[in-house]
Amino acid sequence: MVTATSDEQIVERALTGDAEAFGEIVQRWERRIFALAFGMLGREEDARDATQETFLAAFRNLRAFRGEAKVSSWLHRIAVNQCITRQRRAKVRNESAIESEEEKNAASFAAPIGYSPARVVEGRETVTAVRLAVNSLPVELRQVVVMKEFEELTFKEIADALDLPLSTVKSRLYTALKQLQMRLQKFGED
Amino acid sequence: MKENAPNCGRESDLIAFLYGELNDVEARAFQRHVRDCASCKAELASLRNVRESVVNWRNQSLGVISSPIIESAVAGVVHQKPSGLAAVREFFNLAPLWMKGAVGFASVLFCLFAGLAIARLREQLPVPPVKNPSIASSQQEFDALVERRVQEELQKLNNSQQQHSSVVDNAPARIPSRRMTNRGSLPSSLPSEQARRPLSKTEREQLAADLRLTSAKNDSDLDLLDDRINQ
Repeated sequence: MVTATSDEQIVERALTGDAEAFGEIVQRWERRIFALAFGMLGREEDARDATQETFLAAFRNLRAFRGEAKVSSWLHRIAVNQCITRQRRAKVRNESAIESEEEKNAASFAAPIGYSPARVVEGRETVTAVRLAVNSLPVELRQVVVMKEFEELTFKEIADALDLPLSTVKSRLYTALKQLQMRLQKFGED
Repeated sequence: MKENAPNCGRESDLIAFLYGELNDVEARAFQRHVRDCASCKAELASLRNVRESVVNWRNQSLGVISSPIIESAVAGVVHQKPSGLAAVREFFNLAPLWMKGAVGFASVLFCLFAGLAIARLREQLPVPPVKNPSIASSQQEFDALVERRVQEELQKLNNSQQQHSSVVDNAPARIPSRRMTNRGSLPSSLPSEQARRPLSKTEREQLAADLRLTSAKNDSDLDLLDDRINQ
């Protein structure tokens, strides 16, 4: 009978000097971490960099992993911190296009004229509108949306990863969807 | 946030139902509630639309973007064994516009020259043989033709032999007559001027000796003969 190796067992192997063990962790989680970073940052290049930085930070802090939390939660926390740090740096340097879009659209969600609400739900323009709307959300709301929609985590997994109560996760997700709804509606009205 | 929530205060169940995280009993109970609660019904429909929009964005974004590590691994495999076609495509993708134009122009020239060469080659090719009735195409026809040609040659040969034999038979009669008519004159091979001049003494003696008409010692007869010939 073949038993799948858990993430924690692989981390233990890595801690005992198995050079290939951490590579298995990367293979298991790099897609999800990249999806999280992409949802958080909105740009492919930034997401790639954030993903690499996440695994580098995890490798450096491997001995600090206590095993109390899941490896997945630990990686998500590192990734979210990497994305937030990256956004702050970009804001300071004013280099990120996402940040500039966010600044433009956070206060008033500007949109092309002539879009009906029905068309907002469909079509290519809607994708751009949704991306801008998600990127304009506050970080604590955005990360919940991204972890739910991009990583398809359960409320419990999100709560574990963010070390939050389950009710808070649900409340944040509900609030995030309501804000998205309002911004997309405004986008359609404009 | 509460002001945006449904009046019934069941936003937690609504969000859990939206993401399918209610168990069967809870889901059925909430569905019954939605039938009666217009606020929850409208809220569920609008949030479902928002969620679908986010999912579309995710699918379109992550559908065309692969993760960095997998992409690099795939790229490594691809670069290890690139196919010829892929290499050509990569070359043309990386080539500048002027190089693409030059390659296109060269291709057009190549096709042009190739067409001309093929046309010339067709002109130089031997014409396919047309059936000629005079030329034998089978072994029997060939033999018959040879036999006919042999017969023709034999006929010609016989004709020529007959003509030759008739010439030989007529030759003695013609020679004397010729000798008779040319008696006293020079052979016909000599020029006419030379034939008309008077013969010298030596020539007369030689001629008399040849004709054995008289003895060379008899000068008187020779003189008479000379006079006679000269006359």
